[in-house]
Amino acid sequence: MKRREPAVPVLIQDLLQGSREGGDGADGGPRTYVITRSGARVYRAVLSGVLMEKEDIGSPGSPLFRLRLADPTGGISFTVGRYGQAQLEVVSRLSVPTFATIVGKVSFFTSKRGEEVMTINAELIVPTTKSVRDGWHKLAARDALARLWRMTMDEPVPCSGFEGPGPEVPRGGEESVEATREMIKQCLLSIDRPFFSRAIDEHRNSALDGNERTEGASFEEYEEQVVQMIVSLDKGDGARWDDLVDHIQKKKLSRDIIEEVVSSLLDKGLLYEPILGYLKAV
Amino acid sequence: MDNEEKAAPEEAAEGALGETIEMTEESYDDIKNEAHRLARELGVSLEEAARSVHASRGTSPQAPSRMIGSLKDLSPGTVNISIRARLVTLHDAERNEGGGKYYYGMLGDSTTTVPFSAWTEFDFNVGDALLLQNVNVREWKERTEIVINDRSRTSRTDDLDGLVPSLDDGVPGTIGELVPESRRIDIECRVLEVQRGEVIVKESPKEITRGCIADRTGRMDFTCWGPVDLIRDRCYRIIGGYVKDHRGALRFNFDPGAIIRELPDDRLPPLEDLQRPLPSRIAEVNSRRSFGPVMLRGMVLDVRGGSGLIRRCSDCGRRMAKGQCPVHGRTKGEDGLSLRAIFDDGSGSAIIRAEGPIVEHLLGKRVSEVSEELKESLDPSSVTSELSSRLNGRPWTIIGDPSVDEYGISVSVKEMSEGFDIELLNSDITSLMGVLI
Ligand SMILES: [Zn+2]
Repeated sequence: MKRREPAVPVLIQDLLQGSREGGDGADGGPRTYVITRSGARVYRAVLSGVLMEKEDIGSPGSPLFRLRLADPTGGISFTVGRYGQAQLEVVSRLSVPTFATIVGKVSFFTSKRGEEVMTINAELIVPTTKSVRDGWHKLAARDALARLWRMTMDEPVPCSGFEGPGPEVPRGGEESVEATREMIKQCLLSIDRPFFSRAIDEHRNSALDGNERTEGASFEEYEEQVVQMIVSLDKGDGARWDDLVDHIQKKKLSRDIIEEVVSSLLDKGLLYEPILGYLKAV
Repeated sequence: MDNEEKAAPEEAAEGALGETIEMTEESYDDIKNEAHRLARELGVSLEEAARSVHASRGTSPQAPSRMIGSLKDLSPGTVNISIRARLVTLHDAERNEGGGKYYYGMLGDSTTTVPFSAWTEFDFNVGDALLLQNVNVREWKERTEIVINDRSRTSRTDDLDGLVPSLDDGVPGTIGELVPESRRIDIECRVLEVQRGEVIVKESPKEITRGCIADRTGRMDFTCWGPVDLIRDRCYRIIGGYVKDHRGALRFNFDPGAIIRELPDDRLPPLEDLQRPLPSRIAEVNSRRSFGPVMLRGMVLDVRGGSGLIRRCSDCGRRMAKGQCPVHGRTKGEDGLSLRAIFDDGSGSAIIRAEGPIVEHLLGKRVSEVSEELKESLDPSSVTSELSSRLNGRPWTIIGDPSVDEYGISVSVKEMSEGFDIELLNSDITSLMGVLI
């Protein structure tokens, strides 16, 4: 039975930091895969992001474009030439920056400086919208989280669809697990900072309490708390940001969410910065 | 089983056993203990000792009860036999003319199940392995039935050899775990469909029961090689049988000797939920060949040739090639729309097939409009490229029936909608967040 290698949605950094491995393909033949840092085995990737650069480096009769796709975690360059007629048509019509989804085989080339560089042989380039791009990022983040879960937790994955074979073991051990956590966090916060910083914070608090909190504090409650903290730390010139951070750490609150709350209060005009590094409540 | 018309066994049949004094449970145990003591003390056989005890008490010994090896060997009209069986189902009902209660149900072993009726106290539970002594066998409504009366002795037995496994042994598995050649199945399921049928086995008709069962993990067709009392939309635990690969789909086969116990209705999700397409991954469909409609979330990678405007046979609807129906040859034919595409969900890929209204919906025009356009443009590939730009590289959720053959998985699409289930993604991410901390 002839089988295609699946197209795996991944975040760009996950792919770039992965390791190049040989193995058997879905059809039994030899293949070069990338084992991503979150443990995905990728021959063909789905990447979504913003096409940032489009450079016409072709010559008459030999069209060639160099493009760069970026997501919240990184960027990857690739070329489209005369071997990808359909892609060439799409590329020649689009202007950057634009949201796009790309499907292609991962490949490597050696740069002039002798470094091995990862790129992608695009099989599909589809202009897309912000919400679709965010959807792919959530999907890639969700799948990476599920792989991390299977690598590091004893309990089964708490959502369905992950009963199949486990993830590959990525190179780099605990360090790469930590880096993957940071990458996913970064990606989620860039999609929807209030929603995900609150969700992360609730988990952190429940982990600190050692028990599950049924209701996390609402954003408005945090705003009130922060205003009170600032008032209590204000000795005339406003509250020092560093003191606020100390205070936050003593209270075991998440710095991410407090930063979010502070910027929201600044936006609303309920806080202002009389001097750089100081905050004052109105 | 219809209990209303059940007739009590005729007294005459039991009179033939010729007991004179009714023995209570205590006196029986008494006699047994006394006989054992005597046999030990006197160094005689237990049988001889029992005779002696009966003689001294003026009771008549029970005629020795003939042990029958398995339920399939029972023949109507035999009296005073003993047999081991598992209590498979149990019901009670009122006797005619206020004569009190009687019990009925099914007894099973590894060979078959047989109905029984008990015209005496019957304090056992479904799943109990029983030793039935001094019971009679009659024909009732053209079926062999075991009759337990007040001269029979029924007790639990530890001798389980040849009996179907007990309900208390082990934990039931799930349909999703079943693979070809799985044996000694033990599952809890809801019956989605059930119907009686007949097959010809060795030139004689055999009644069978067919249908479809489901749990949270999957759905499966079943065939029971005999009549069983399964009712649509009820929940059962079924123990016994095996799984076979039947043209790419798995089928659960069992015989009436399997243990079937009805479960409370809340044990499994309601019928409507179980009939809903199962969210699946392509890799999963490939490995376990789950049965029934699935929901797949993924991306269309490539709209293939054979998509677009096609000709269908006006007699049978089959796709025509060069004006010929593969079955009916040259027929008039009519225009139709078709989609063949590669669909990938990150775990694997499948060919999806959609016809008629689904494709019209994707294109946003009716087949007649497409025909008209093509009469002007004369470029049939324009429909394919329209489908490509509409579908390729976009996220889709499809619902359809999967099938697996040597070419891989194909899904006959019933519904197709664009986009992500963002709520699901958010809730998945939130529940996985523990791993970020
Ligand atoms: Zn035909």
